[in-house]
Amino acid sequence: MSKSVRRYVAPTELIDVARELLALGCRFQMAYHRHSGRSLEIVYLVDQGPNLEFLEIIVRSEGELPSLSEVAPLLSWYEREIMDLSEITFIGNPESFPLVVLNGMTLDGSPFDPNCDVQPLLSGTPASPSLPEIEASQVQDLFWGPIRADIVETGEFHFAYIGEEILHYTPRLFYKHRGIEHGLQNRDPAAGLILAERVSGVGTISHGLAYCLAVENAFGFEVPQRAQLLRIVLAELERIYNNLHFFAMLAKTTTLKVGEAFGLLLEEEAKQINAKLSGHRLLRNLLSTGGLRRDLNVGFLAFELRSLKAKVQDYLDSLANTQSYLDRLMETGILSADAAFDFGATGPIANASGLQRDLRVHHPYSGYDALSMKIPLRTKGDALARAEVRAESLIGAFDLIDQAIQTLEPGDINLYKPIVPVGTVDGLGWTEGPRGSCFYAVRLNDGIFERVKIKSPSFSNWKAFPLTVHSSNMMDYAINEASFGLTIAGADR
Amino acid sequence: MSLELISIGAVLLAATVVAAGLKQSFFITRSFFSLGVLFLLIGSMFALPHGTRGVELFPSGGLAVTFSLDASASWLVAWGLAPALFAGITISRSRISQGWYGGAALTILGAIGVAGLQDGISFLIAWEVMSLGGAFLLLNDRRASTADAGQSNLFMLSLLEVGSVSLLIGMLVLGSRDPSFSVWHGLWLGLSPLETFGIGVLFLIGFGAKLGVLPFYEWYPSAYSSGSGATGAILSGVVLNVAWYSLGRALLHWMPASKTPLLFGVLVLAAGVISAILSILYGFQQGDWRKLLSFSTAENGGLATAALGAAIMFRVAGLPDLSTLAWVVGLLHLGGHSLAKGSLMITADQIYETGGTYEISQHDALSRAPWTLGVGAVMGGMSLSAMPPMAGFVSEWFLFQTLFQAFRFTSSTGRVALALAGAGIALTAALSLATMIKVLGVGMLGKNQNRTPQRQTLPVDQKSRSLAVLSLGTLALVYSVGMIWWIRELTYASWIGPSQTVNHMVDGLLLVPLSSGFAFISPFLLVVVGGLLSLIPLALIRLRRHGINGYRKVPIWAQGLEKVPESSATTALVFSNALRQFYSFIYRPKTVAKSDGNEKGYFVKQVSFEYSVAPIFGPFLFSPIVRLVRWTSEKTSKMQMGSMNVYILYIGLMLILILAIAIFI
Amino acid sequence: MKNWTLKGLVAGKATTNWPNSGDNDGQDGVAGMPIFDPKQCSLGCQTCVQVCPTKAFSVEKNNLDEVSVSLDYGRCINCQICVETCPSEALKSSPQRAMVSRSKSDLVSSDLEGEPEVNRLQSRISSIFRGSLHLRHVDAGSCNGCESELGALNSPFYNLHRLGIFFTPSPRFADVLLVTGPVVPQMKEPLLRTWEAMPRPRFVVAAGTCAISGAPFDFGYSGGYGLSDLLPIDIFIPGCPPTPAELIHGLLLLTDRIDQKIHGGRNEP
Repeated sequence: MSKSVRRYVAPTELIDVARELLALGCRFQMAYHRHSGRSLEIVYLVDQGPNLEFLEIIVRSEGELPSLSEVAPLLSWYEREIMDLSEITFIGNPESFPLVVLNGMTLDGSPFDPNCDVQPLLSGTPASPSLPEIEASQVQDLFWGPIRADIVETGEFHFAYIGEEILHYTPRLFYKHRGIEHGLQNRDPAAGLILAERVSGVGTISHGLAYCLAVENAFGFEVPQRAQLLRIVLAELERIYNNLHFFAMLAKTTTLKVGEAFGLLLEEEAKQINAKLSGHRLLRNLLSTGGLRRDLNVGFLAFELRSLKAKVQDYLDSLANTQSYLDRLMETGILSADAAFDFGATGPIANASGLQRDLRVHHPYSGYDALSMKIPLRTKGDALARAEVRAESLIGAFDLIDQAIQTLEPGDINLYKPIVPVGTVDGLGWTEGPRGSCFYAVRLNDGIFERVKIKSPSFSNWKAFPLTVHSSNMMDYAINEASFGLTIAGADR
Repeated sequence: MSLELISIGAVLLAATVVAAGLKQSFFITRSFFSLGVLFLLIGSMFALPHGTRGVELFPSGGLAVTFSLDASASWLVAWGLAPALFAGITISRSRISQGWYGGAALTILGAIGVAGLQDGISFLIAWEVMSLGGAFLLLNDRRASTADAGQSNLFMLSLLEVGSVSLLIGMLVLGSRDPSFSVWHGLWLGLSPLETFGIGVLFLIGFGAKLGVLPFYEWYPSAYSSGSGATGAILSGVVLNVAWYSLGRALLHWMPASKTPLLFGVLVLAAGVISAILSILYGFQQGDWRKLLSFSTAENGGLATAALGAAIMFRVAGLPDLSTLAWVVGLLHLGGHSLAKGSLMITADQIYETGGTYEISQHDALSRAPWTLGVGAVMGGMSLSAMPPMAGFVSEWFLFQTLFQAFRFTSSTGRVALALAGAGIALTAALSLATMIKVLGVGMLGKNQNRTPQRQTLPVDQKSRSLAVLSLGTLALVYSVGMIWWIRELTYASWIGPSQTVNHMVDGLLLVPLSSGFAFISPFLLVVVGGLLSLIPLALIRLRRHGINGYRKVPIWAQGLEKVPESSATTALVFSNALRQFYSFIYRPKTVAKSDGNEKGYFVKQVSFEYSVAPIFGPFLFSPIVRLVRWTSEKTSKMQMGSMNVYILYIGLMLILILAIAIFI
Repeated sequence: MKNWTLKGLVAGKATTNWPNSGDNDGQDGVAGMPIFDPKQCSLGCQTCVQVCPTKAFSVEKNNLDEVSVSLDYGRCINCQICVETCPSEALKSSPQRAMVSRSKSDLVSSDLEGEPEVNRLQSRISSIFRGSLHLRHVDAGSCNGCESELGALNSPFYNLHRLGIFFTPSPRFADVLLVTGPVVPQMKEPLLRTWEAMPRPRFVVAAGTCAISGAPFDFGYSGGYGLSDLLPIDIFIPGCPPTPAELIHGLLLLTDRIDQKIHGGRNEP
């Protein structure tokens, strides 16, 4: 894994550079701000294409910058987050209202500014959200949430609707914003890992591994072969239980009660396998920067997984043979390839909309390049396509674990007395989790974090999701949402 | 005695017209009008059960003009005038000019004439006066812009004129030799069944134009919505009632049973049922109090017409007792409808006074008005949706019971027609229930959270209007609870059947459809027993309130939000949208939602939304005619003035023409 | 066309008999909360105090100037770092044992003797709900790990309904407010409004370590500090996340269907 390429750009050239990059087939991944001495810089991370280094566009800011949202719509949320948490204004952002700091809340300072001596605090009471103006007295508003029925995460969804037909949909997330990026500041990587593992509870490995890879990238650590392969095993186990949960939820929303029960039971079996292997049902407390905290005994895994795989295959076949289930997924929540690209949809959502992207193949990490895998692809962009893509990647996960276990040889699982470099170092780590791409960009000074930026897959997919809800039906909403398989904790951080 | 009272009332109303013409003060016109209506009301009540004797008007003139109200007419006029009385007393003077009273007086004078005059010529004059009065009423309502009011008035008048012409032809055919109604039955006996059918259709069109039988209900919404609720109370009260009475008299009295084809009865029945279904379907979709209520009026006119159709069919089939039953059911229905509709029409005015709009939307109308409004309006709404124990329940139950007598027919045509009509009316009843829930639920509830909660003292006119609503609503209850007694007033309300028929509709405290073995209801017992049973929960609530634990009042849980946002109140459209989709083959709904995103549709800042339902007859029947007329008028553009004055001139010419015919024929 | 009903019937029963009988609680291999035995500590060693990322260990000096280290399970996220770094046998990884408690003091290791304190009135009131307990879950900023495990309770393996415990959509119907997450600033008001909407008698269950103390999210501009200062917690279920078995333990303890086993931070009284 190599360092990314940097390119400094003047604010006035920013829009032209962005257009030029997009014309070349590049794709923006994320944007964040960081303080560099007395000045502030905005970093745009750009994917230049398969097997090419990531490009960092860096712009020094003097308080105001042109917005890139019209050029690359996916940047809108990043820009709004930066505006919420710093003094920078993006001129021309089409949604210039708060994102992370909800309406009604105030944040008295810039949390990431090292020159700020007082600890800023978020205070107030959430007030009504900023919504598009609706020109018709007959449209009814539905505010669903923030505390919704069932065991779900907190998030407020706003529907402007007329009975069955949804005219416009606006999700308001970030109720759960915990400021983890800020919390990682001034920590050392070992202590920070427990936070990274808890950014998204069901994405422990996606986040934890991306975090470790970023730190290892910054420090120049080479992780032993065995640890790399075991990390793949863990990452694919995470994919298995998450996707089984996904199918259980899809069966639930299509009112397939028995199907839901089967899905939940399979998920539970997968979690119990996780516990037997790692001591933790959600695979926590194993990763470390440099390798793994302890070696794992994978001897029993092959057998258990073979049995689970057979059940999973049968379950997926049963679902694929259920007409009522298929009927409700077809044509539901169509996301066009264009929109998926523009809003940065990632993982199964992108693959279902005709974008063949997978970091495991295109920017391999942790030894994925030694294994063979296929990226599932559908072009329809509807809920069924998303389900089919997930099904393929679920079965693919079993195959990847098989391959990893077969090539596994005894050896070290951690670095022997690694040396932490002095001075400022930057690193970038990424993983392709069950929900899509997860990026960690870190900057350390003498082994202590100065800035950590987390890009979770759900942050990207939540931005694309509303496009599939506008002018759809209320009855399809739950199915559509389940077919995106989003988490709010990951997006909120 | 009753004739004297009626003449005093008529004179007072004439004085109202004069006073309004001379722009006398509100006090004078209002007093004249109210007293006049009161005298007419009492007079027509005293006329029951036998009706008045005949009296010769202008005995010295060349014309023999006789006036007498029979029992049916007295019943319909009496109940129809009750809302007119309350409307006249409570209408807000800031919204109208004195001319309104003139128009109202003219309308009611015309209506009395239509109900009581006994010859074709004076009848037609009264009919035109009634239409003209209605136009004056609407024009003197200051609510709509003059241009809108003028346009909807012209639409109404032109459709009514189609009816008038049709009436004129029908009456000319029948009464060219002798205009006196008393001989028309005999004259008609000389015509063939085919001619009978033709004339029957002419009358159906003529009176149906006013009754709102299809396609004529389409003038209702725009005309009603150009006036106030008080105007609506008069139009859907006494005016509707006498129109139906006239139709019934023509088809049951003048038209000989021996010459009537059964199919004509089926036609009237079908016209009634289909108009009822269509008008309530459209009513359900309305977002304006007056439009919704006007469609509901057309629906009730349709139900009464269906009862009339059944009466004709039973009469043809030689079942006079059932024919009388059907006719009496129509009388009961329209009587109760006047009261209930009056209460809701006046409620609409109250909504307008407190909220500034007739739009059906949640803006805490109920909590701002006195309690009397809510109770009265709920009773009115219950009656219109045929909920027990209200007036509408009694009459619709009787209507169903009448249609269930289909088995007495020997011909399958009659059986099938009545059975289908029963199904249609069941649909109507369900829809009208939904409609009333919509208008009361969406239109009266809701909480305006921006308003300061302090209670202001209400203006006197709002109090009196609410009291009027309560009175009319209570009357709708009293009407049904006391039906076991009132119904005997209708003993002579029939031209055909034996007078015992009505006696067979009551059995002790029960209401029965001619025989108690078939079915029965008793609003009286329901109210008494239900009232007693309701004491139990009331007592429990009372006990709980004084219990040891007491209450802890907490705000409504808004899923974690501070309060339930105001905009999440159910809107009129959302309430009815499912049906708008389901019956899209009738409504042909249009929904246009536009979002103003960037060129790819992202980052929406504004969503604009439009919706509509298309009228049935507008595009297919009226628009082509309008286009034809436009084409003609283009050719004769010199004559086209398009002003109200020209139209009134035309009406005047019509009157002279009718007089001329009367004198010279 | 798939016949799901038939498929379900053929598959048979998947539910464990635990906790009524048997011991298959589905937590094989799960590393439980560390067991802390201060008597085994090497003299002057405070490795655990230094390595603990959530500051769950605290050092106290008594009046004889003796130093003692105690562990607050209300701050422990079960990350096992202390177990891995402990040079002596003082900290050991336990097999899965539910550290559920009625009081916060019982979550802190100490040399308390005797039985855990029980509020008789409180437990009588809550035991009324033995047969039917309705929970309203509120996510006050959790990482979704607790939701994942709460969701597992509805899987056929645990089948929470068989114990008469249900999740309900509205706080109006709820007996218990089950809170996950550290209560971040933006969730404070929504949470309190939900509590306000509940009828009495009502209980609070803090599920997960962060719901108890905020750890490890008790920092920065948008951190949370748990429920302790906000609501009267009836049951503490530490864990990150607590396993389904621990959650069931907590709910059974609330309704007095099992006895509290934790006292003075130790599992065996």
